[in-house]
Amino acid sequence: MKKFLLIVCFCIPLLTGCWDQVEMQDLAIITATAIDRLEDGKTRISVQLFIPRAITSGQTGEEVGSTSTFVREGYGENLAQAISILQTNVPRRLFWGQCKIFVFGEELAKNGIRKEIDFLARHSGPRGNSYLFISEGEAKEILELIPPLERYSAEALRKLSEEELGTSTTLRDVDIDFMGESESVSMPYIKMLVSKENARKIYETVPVIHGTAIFKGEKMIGTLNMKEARGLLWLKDEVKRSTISIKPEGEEGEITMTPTLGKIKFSPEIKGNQWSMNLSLAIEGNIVQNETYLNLMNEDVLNNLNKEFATSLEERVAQTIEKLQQEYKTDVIQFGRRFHQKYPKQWKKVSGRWDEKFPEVKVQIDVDANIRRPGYIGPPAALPRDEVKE
Amino acid sequence: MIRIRRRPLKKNATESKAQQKSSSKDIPLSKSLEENIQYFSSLYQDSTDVMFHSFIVGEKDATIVYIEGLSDTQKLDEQVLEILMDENEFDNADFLSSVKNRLPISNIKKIPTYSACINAISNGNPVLFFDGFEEAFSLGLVKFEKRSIEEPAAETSIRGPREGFTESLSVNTSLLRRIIKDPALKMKSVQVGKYTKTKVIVSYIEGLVDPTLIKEIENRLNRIKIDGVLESGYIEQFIEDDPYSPFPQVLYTERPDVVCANLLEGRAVLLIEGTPFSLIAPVSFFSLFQSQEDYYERFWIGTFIRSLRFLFLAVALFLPSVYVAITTFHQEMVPTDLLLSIASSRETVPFPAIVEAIMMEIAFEALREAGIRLPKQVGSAVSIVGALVIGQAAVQAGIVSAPMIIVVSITGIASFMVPRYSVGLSIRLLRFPIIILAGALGLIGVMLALIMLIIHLSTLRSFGIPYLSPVNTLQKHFMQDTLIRSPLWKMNSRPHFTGDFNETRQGTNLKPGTNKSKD
Repeated sequence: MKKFLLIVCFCIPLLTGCWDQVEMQDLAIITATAIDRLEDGKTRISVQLFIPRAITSGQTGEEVGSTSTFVREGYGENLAQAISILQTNVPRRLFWGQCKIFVFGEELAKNGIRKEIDFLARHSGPRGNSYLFISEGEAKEILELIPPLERYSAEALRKLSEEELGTSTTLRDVDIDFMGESESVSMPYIKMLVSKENARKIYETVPVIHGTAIFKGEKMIGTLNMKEARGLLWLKDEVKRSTISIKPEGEEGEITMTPTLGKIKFSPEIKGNQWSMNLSLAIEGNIVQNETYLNLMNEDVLNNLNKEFATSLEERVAQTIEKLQQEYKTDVIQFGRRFHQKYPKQWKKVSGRWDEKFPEVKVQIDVDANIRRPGYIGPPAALPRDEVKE
Repeated sequence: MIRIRRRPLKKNATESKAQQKSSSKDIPLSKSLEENIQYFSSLYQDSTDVMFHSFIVGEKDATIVYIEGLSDTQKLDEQVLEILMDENEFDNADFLSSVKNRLPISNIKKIPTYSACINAISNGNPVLFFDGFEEAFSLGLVKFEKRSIEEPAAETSIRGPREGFTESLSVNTSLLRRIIKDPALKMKSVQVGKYTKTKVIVSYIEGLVDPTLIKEIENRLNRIKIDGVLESGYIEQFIEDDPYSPFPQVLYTERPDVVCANLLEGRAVLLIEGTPFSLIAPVSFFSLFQSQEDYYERFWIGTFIRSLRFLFLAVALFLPSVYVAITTFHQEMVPTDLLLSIASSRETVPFPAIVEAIMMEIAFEALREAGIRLPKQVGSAVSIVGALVIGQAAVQAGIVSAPMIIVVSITGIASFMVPRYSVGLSIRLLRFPIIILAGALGLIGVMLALIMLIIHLSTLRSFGIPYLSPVNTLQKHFMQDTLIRSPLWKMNSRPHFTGDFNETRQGTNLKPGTNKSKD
């Protein structure tokens, strides 16, 4: 028995060849993928591949101007076919494990992304937590950008997403949301930032988040601009960095606050035939700029400002909801799920025609704003004492 | 208390009896001096270092036999020969007693048999024969060249006694006696080795140690029938519970303070003649990660360093294999930026990661071994060449990737974090099969290795004590002195298993500053 075990142990190393071992030199590491629909209806996949030689180890360092990635393409009737064609164009095995960025072209998005999402979610390679984007125009162009700060454009996109300046959407989110009550998703809408530096070439720039693409079902039906996208962030409870400005009554300039804490609570309510959604937002923040003559050390002033901030935020959120309800008629903010959870019986009646019911939902917004700190200085800066309004 | 025995006691007992019978050629000495001397001179034929000195005491012939270099000849001359050869009156009626009374030697014994005489002579005690008596005197005048007490080179400490054991058994026992003055400290002697006749002393504190443990140790020692014992390792390998295990089941040390700490916890110690290393049994896996200095420094430091050791134990065992597994199987697990820099440094390397890892680990082991074996003057040259060749040239030539060098060197450092050299060796040894498993099966292989390791450690015993104690039983001692080192004033009980025989080791309420009247 012992001898047998010993023989088995010695045999294990000989088995290496047949397991899924792969050396790193045999991998083509994909850093980002772009999927486009061509005019003839074919699918084009473009991948940004990392060139390991570009980062030479040790003292020599990175050569300035040289790119560490390149882009390869594959065409086909569908995504799977396109990828198999792509593989024939790349001598190494395509490695999806580190690809955290998928960019869909606008054309493709408008024609529906379900088939592509199916492939990405089914295939074992792509990560569930990779970020999805919709690009203005062709997605491939995004991959070809050479960011001045990051090593490659995928990294720039990933960092943008992780900072949550726009809504970030992962593959898993999309997969779940398509199956959910509202059958709609939103994804960040990106475009190439036009660089105004003279020294830089046109492609030496980064992609930036430009708004939010709104999907109804699998098809993209429109976008929200940056301001509306902000409102969406509040509704998704994902605010991290943003600013809110107000113009107090009877004052010349504006006062700007950055929120340090933002919370939203949804309480759906059904009274008879009237469906309504009560949103209560709580926001806390610090003042970062005061253009007015108001003294922020005064409690009454602060109380007034709190109210104005509340109104401002309310307007902003209401504007976004208005657009979603009336213009797009699509529930990317998951009202449907919340109604379903609280009123499962009533939900059953409308579940088939939620997109008709959704615009009829009455939305009430209640904001509680609270300024925590007026900043390092109290009264307005560079102003004689007697001109400060108490 | 030792609850489970691996070997039945009976078998050992019968064997030791058999041994006693076989060695019983205890022929009594002859009355005739001539006959006795003839016997010994034929026995020590062709041994020029055995000296026979004949002289006359009063009217009787006498011969003194000793081995040159083992006995103090100056004292022999001054305290024995001078007195005996003087014109002294000896009581003829009770000649031997009167001689004994005259000699100014404290350790003087009457010995009646040939084998006892041989024993005394080979141990350096001159034996004095008189014509007409069936008894001889063994004179305690042992003196041989020995090393002075030095700081042990392999077990240095910043804080703590600087004394280490030497090759001389009497020095070693005296070092113990100097620390533990209570008469409960016992030292039983067993002789091992057909030719070396090495004295092995089983030392323990009566009342703290489990008596069955001592019996078991003696049984196992009596089983040993070998030509010679040159080092404690000979004994260790004959008394282990599981001889095939890569882990040491007996701890060795050359520090008297370590020995005493273990004696006080109810363990037994084997002191072996001719080596500065003493053996401590039973041990548990976790006690091998305890350094004496943990207790000398304040408990925060002891706890921190101890947890550091366990961290680096994991590093030493698994870092290269995890690196191999991740870079060849699970590339998606690494953060992107890290993967990209690993990928770019591996780009020019012609070997698979597993070959690279094994190559570098073997090179490191070779360097380490060469560094120890070579003469000191050459040793530094080896390390310079090794560092240059492995560290720089190999990377620059693109044969080895820089991350692998980092992994191997961290692993190398980590394996020296273990305070006991023998455990460090077993960890270094185990690293290789784990690397191979990782190269074959990826992280599954690493997990397999870990599982096998834990299974093996849980079945292992040291003198009947579970090797993983106190973690496997989660006794109260677990929190006290295993992963953390609690303050000394809190360690009120001796370790479970070894200390069960006499559990309480100190008074309660010892925390400094607590009210005494509370007691």
